[in-house]
Amino acid sequence: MKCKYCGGDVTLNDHFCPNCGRPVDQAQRHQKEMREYETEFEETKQQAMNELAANSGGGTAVGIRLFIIAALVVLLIWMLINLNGYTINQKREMRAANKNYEAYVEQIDQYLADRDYTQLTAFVNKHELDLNDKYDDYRWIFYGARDYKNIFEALLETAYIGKDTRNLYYAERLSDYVNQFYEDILSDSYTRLSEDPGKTEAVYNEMEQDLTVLLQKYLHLTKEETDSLRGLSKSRRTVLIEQALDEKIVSVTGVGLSEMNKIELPEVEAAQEADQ
Amino acid sequence: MARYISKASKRPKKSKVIIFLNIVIGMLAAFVIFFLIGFLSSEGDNYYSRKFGDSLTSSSIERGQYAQLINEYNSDYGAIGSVNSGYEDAAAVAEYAVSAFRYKAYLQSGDSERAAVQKQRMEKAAAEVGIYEPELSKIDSALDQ
Repeated sequence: MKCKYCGGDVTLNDHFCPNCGRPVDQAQRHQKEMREYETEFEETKQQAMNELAANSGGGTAVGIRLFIIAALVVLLIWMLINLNGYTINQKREMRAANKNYEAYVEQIDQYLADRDYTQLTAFVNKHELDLNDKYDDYRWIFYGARDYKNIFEALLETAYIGKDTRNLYYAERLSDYVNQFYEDILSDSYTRLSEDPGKTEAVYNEMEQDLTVLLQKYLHLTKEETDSLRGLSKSRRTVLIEQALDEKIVSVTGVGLSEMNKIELPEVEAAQEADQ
Repeated sequence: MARYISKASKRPKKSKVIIFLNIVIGMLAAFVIFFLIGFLSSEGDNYYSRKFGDSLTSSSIERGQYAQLINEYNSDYGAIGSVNSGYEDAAAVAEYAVSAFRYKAYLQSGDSERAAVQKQRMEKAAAEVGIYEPELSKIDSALDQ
């Protein structure tokens, strides 16, 4: 390239002619354009970097939100399954039962010494001991006590039956409860699985002895009949109990168990409505 | 071109996906909060903290429903151990009724030792029945039928 003033050789990098010292317009335009292109290039590059960052930032934002949604869904499902007052308190009682093991065992032994199996069952239910592995030594005793309590409540209903009684929830199931009791105490499961089968058997015998006394008094069974309960088949036991129960109910109300619920007593209905 | 680039580099608006996800998060959070409020105000604790008298109907005693009274006493009081204020007399009736139930059975079987223990409990409860004193003779006669 030649200088337009002196004809000397110049390059695009020469702002001024090295020969005559005058400005080289073409070189100056070139430099200006180069600066503009460089600026544009830098801006474009910066823009591309910004967009790349923005795009990858958007992806992160979506990812974070999806993670929060997943966490909330898991939390909701967990709450629906686990979070109710009963479950929380049940776990609290079980923790307390583990912590106070010695005191609770002492209390259980006291109930057994008093032969108070209804209160023992209430204690077991309150502290969820039948679900607690730590109390495995007593598990079979708890089962027997629960059966005892059912029979006890059925006999209470039978004993306190009145002329206007129309609902015998437990007494209706008395034969089932008695059969369940004998099924449990005659089962060989406790002798195989109990830590101390001798102790369990002794408690079962005391329970049976106590129930025998109550059956004789409130179901009017004879000693021979109660002595035979252990050896009877389930069906024969059911017949014996249901016959005795029906006779007891007829003697008080004038009707049998099956007819009881069909009789309407206006004053009883009115009292029940008043309660509600 | 430089002007175009500077306009394009302005911060973009939030995408529709983000807005939708925000709404979903808000709804789920609201569910969690409502559930927690419902749980905290629920009656869940009552099973373990109930007292004798909570489920007792007003006329259970007058109607001679002693078995029901005793069941509630055993379940709500028994091993759990507290009586609502105003129900002390009813608790004494329940104690008398269950002790008498045992007493008469042990007496008939000839187990005088255990009968004596129940007799003591009956006498203690009888002193505390208050306005329900007339119920004691009804309980005794019901057990002899």
